[in-house]
Amino acid sequence: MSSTRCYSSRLSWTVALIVSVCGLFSFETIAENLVIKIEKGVSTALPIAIVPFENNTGESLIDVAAIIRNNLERSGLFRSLPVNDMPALPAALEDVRAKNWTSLGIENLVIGKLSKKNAGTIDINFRLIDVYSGKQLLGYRIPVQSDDLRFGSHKVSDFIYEKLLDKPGAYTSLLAYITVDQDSDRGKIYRLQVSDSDGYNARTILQSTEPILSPAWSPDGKRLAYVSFEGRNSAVYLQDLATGRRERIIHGKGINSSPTFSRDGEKLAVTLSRDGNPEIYLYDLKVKSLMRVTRHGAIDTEPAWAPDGRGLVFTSDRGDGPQIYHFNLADNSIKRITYNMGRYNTRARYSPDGRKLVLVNGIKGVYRIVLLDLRTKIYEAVTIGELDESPSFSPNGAMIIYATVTEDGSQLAAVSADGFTKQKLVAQRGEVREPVWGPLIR
Amino acid sequence: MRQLGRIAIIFIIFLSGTSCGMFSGEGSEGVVEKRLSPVTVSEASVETMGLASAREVSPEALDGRLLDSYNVDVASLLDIRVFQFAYDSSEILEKYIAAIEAHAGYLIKNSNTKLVLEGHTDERGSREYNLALGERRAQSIQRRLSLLGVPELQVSVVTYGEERPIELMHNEAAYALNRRVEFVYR
Repeated sequence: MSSTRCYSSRLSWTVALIVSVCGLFSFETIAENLVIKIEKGVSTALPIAIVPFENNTGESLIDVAAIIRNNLERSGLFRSLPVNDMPALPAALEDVRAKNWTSLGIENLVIGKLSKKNAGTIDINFRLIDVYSGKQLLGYRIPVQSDDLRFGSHKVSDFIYEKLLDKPGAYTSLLAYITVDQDSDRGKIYRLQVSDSDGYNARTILQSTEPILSPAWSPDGKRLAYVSFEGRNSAVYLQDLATGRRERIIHGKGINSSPTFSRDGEKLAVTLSRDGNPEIYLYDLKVKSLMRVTRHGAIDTEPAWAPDGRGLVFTSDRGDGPQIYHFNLADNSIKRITYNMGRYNTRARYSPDGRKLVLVNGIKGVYRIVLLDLRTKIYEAVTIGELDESPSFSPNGAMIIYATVTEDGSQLAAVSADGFTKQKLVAQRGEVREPVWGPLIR
Repeated sequence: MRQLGRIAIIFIIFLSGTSCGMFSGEGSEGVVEKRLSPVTVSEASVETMGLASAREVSPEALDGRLLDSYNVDVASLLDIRVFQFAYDSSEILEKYIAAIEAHAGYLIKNSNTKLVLEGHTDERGSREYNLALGERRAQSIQRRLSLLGVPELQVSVVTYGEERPIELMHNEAAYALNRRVEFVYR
């Protein structure tokens, strides 16, 4: 099993936090977490009981079961039994009385224990039980460092999600986003932050008094590309998360923006206007060379790779208003994708299975996140905001995270890919924008 | 007053940045220099640079003055540094033509002066598309200046898209003020 590998990648994360301070200038490393509020759920959700884990460490620890409960509920696909309604609080298999739970309509039960193996290490023991059949569906011991208990809880959530839904969980994946604060001395402060998938554990990896935008994850989750205006103009940077080391990879006259990684991580698609007009280019990260993709007097921007790597979608206003186009890398052909969807369609991203596009659709001054089925051409709005932008799929395709403008400024929100469950991720201060969901950590 | 306040804040940033050495790199320098202007301005004329006055400018009045006594009013036309645009458009509004001609005249006369055209958009829609739109707006003024005889090397373009709004409200009045090109003399 890959749990030990995840664990070590987590370790390097801790290192990343310490080292990444060498960004622009010094700043506090502790960022404020995002608070998640579930706005709407569905009644068809799977009932589950997650019993508080027995703590045998003799130390006061975070509530692992509560983190797992919140994770599963957030998907909209689970409904968890409140602790107060639980008939008993078993921690071992032999203490489980199936009838207690089946009478409450609970089919799946999670029990667990936390114990100390040696200094600084905690073992999470957990079991997922089907109380109807009386069978254990899953049982694992996950050793984590004491300060990584939250990550361990996400790992347990991934196990449960995958076992019961037969799809990978994305709880151990990370979010990256931009925050903007008004500082009384320095004016606006822009931060590039990375957090756990539930908004906790937020860490600043770059801070600047000039705008930062368009963060993009490398497919291995180890690097972020982004755009920073620190040199008075846009430039594309690539930052290693473990070391905090970064490199200005694309700069020059005009726009240097909109980076997205190819699936193999070897190329970046970017928008450059060095020849006077925004065009899509491919930047080869190994050879460090640029290849021009589009050649048109209109605005061409916001490239995003198809999961199979054979094409790109991008935004262009070569037709009526900005619309989404597809570029076929095999024969260089360009095809318009968005028809009969109004005069404003921008910033498309593929679903992980490549079957859908999520994009920003503007009609009569209202900008919403729309999901377009590429085969049937049927599209539907999955958000109800007035100014929604920057949609990004979770790596398992189950959720879409986006930014929504409220009277308090921009905040993050997430919606299940079926549009049924919505949640708001609220920053304790300032604005949050441009969320991007990192890849699955396997 | 708003403009004065901004200058004051920037000055404080500059002081604090240099004194404690917290800032490094080009970024913080950019913050300071962007607001410096070689055009000497009295306190009163600083106020006319404010947004409120830009909103009050009426095309009839400017055109009339241009025809009557171009030279007399060049100074006040040069005070116009914010040029607004219509939604999703990079077309220069008729009311700004006289002011752009005044700036062209100033640049030709002062060939050592450099002008940066900062393109901006309102917050609606996607950030990257807006970045491109901001550039297109600045380029449309750059082209006009070039047609008026301003050497290309004197005028450069930078776009901030929707990243630097001057008005933070989420309504049409705010959007109109944010869809703009700012003239920044260096």
